[in-house]
Amino acid sequence: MKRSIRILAAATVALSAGTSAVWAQTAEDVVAKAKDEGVVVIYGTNSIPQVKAHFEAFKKAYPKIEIEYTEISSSPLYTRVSSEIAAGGQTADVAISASSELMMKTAKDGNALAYDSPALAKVPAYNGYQKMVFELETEPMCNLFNTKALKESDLPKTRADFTRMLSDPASPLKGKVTMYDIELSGVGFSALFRDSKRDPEFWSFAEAIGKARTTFLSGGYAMAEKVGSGEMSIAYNIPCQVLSALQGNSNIGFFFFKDYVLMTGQYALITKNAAHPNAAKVFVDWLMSREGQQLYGQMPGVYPVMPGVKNLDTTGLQAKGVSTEGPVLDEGLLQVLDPVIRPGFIKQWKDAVAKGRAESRP
Amino acid sequence: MIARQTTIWAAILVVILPLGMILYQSVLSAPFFSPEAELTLGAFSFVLTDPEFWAALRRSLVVAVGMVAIAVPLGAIFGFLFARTDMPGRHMLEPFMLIPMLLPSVVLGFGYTVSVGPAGFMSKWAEGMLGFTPWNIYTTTALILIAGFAVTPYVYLYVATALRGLGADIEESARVSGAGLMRIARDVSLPMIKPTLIYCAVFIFFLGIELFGLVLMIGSTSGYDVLTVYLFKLTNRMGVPSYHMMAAVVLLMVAMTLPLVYWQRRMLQSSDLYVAMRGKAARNKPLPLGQWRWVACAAVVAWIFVAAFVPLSGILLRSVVTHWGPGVDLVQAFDLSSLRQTFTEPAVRRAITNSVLIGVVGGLGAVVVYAALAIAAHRHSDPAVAALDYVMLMPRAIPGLVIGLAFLWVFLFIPFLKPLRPTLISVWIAFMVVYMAYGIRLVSGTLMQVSPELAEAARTCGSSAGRTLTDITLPLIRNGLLTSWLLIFLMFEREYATGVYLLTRGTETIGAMIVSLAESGDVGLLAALSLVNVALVGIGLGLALRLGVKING
Repeated sequence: MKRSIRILAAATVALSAGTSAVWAQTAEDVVAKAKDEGVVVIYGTNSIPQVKAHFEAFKKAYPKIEIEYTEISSSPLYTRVSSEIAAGGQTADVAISASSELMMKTAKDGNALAYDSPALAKVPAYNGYQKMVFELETEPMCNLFNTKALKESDLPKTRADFTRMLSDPASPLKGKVTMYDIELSGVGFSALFRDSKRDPEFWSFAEAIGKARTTFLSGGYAMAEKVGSGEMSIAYNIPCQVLSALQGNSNIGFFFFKDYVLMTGQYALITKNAAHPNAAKVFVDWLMSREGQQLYGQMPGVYPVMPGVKNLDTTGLQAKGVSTEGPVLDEGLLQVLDPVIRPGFIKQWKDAVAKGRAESRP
Repeated sequence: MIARQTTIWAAILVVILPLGMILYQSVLSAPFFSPEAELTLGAFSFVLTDPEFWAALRRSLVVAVGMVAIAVPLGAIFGFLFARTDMPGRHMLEPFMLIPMLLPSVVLGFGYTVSVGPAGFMSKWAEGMLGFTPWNIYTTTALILIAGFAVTPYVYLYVATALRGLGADIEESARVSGAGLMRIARDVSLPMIKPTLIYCAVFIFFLGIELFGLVLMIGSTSGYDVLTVYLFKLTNRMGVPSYHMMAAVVLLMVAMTLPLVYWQRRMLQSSDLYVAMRGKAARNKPLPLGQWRWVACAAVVAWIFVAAFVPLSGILLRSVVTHWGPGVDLVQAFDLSSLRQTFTEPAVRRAITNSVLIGVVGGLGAVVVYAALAIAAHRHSDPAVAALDYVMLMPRAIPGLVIGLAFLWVFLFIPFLKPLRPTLISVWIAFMVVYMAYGIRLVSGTLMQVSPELAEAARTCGSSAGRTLTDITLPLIRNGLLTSWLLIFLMFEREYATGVYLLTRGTETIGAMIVSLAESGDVGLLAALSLVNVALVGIGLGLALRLGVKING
């Protein structure tokens, strides 16, 4: 009896080793050193409830590695990591942020560690900026609507529809639409900038936003709150991750435009001179492992980056055959940090909105 | 003498360090730690020629002056009513006067939107009864009113403390001579505390210049960009934070303190005018309000309703429902998971412990520092004292996030301070500096009423300066110090933005967590955490009051 259990146990070990061999596997010596380091220090933009499931599972997989997590939003995160490295002081081992451009900038500044993660071999070509910034999950940019104010059939189908509805002087959406203040939110800026490249009628849309006397806010959750309460009817262009905080809220629905869906995501990097580089590697690899990816797949509105990982497909995009691949992390994405392009775009946007606003009465 | 000067100069140094970092950064072209940084005045010339800066400055001035115009008279009247009259219910109502101070301004703004915003539950009640909502909180007037009400408790506290310290004999003589209540308040009581009122006006003005969270919640909805909002927009204009721009705007804000402190010092040149606690004991008898008793009480209750109950009820509601708004069945949306989370989540529990530690122990430490400085500066007018007067208000004019960042740099780049950074001491020092003007004023308000003749008498009898301090001055201001400790505890418990950059595992505070949640998280949890913080502060307040600490010295 004892013997058979042992055989069974051995078989299980062999089996699990067999499956994980298909998946990214951190080199053994790295794992051993990581266990000696005993801790991985993380700065991340996600709130603790959002990262909890991952941390608990990681601790089960690597009981010898403790996690120290500090929540901090993307711009202060960049500032802290770069200041701390410049001072030669203690900083995070791993940074996780929703701002792809600030993560890439950190890498460009020379503050990230290049790591030839075994996971890179497993992922589509778009992942991994110079082997320094790794995409962990992707999220579509969705639009939220108040289900008591608008019926599904009232919703605009395309961006052109939306522009038309916003421009109508008698529009019920007047004063009822909210979107990111691109001067305060990096995520909001990037999404809108990418819109301007994709949408041929973008500048009419900008004027229509002004005509509808849109309210600009700094955070996705603040917008969701206003849509939920009915103060606003539509929130435009929010990373779908907010859906996880909206479970059980029957007041809020989400929708996409048919013309295209923008994708964004969460990104990780290991810092240069990380105090616990091996633990950092183990952690990042684990986030991109089957287990880490499956947990992302369980989050509403979030998609794993690894192909073939089961996920909830909360948004139904995959069922409709829409790709949920993230944006390519390349120099093109870094345009949003260009010292001429960025302020120029902000000005053009504000002027167009102001022009639309001037044409409409409250 | 040397000890006195050293204490003051040491404090000035601690304040100057982060300010110096900001000054240095403002004249560079890139982050000061970047090899590309070059000396330039570019940031200043950009800001000073930017029409948006001037527009933001104008709006900030409107808001700050508006807040002074609301908070100073209102706080002075409340202080007089509580400290000097027989207004009914004054003992019971007193703790409620502090509630608006206990809420971070972003939470306060959020609370107002839930209760009286366009979809707020009170707005909907009003609409149900009247057919329309008689208010709109997204207006400049509403913003100024809400902000003015929120800072009224500061004035109330300073004024009530000052009045309680005065002997009632002068007012008594006025009454015997036939002066009415209004006349006594206008011609006797309030002029006696002129230094306090002037100080309040300056202090509130800077709270107005520094106002951010509330504007973000209420003002920016109507596109009302004040200086702080402009500051953050400018910092983010390039996507990568432009610290030199940020530093330049902040320095311009700091520069505004100079003329005001100069004016304040000129107005208060002879503090001897305001001595009331002399060698002779005076009896304090409340002035009878007569038929005005209930009117006064109703006015106070109305203010408490608008400034405390309205926002707090919004936060309370939001912390126990998943969603809200017209047409939502709140019973169905009822959900305690957010509140539960605040008690089960280890990081939140650590934050609660840290906040209590910072509030109680850190508060005590800060009071010791403030008392040392107040005593060192008291009735002296040498260059050190003048410098301290100017310098201590400066951090108050700087948004919490920026001064927090400056402190991060101080702890990162000044070698011997490095070990302090991952400890709570770094957070404590930052808080201590930010509240220095507030705290020193609390202590010196008490000190100012102790007549020099008491100390002089001791010195004449041959006592040393130290002995005079321990045997005469400190016992006389003991109650004032206990009160200061309580009020500093309240502030440290509530402080939020300053801690954001110093936040690491082990130094989390509730306030910093609230800021993070406001930006990246679950609104229900934000409301729940704010509520827990208010409850925590309430417990501290209740405990202190039971132990005999008086809210007003």
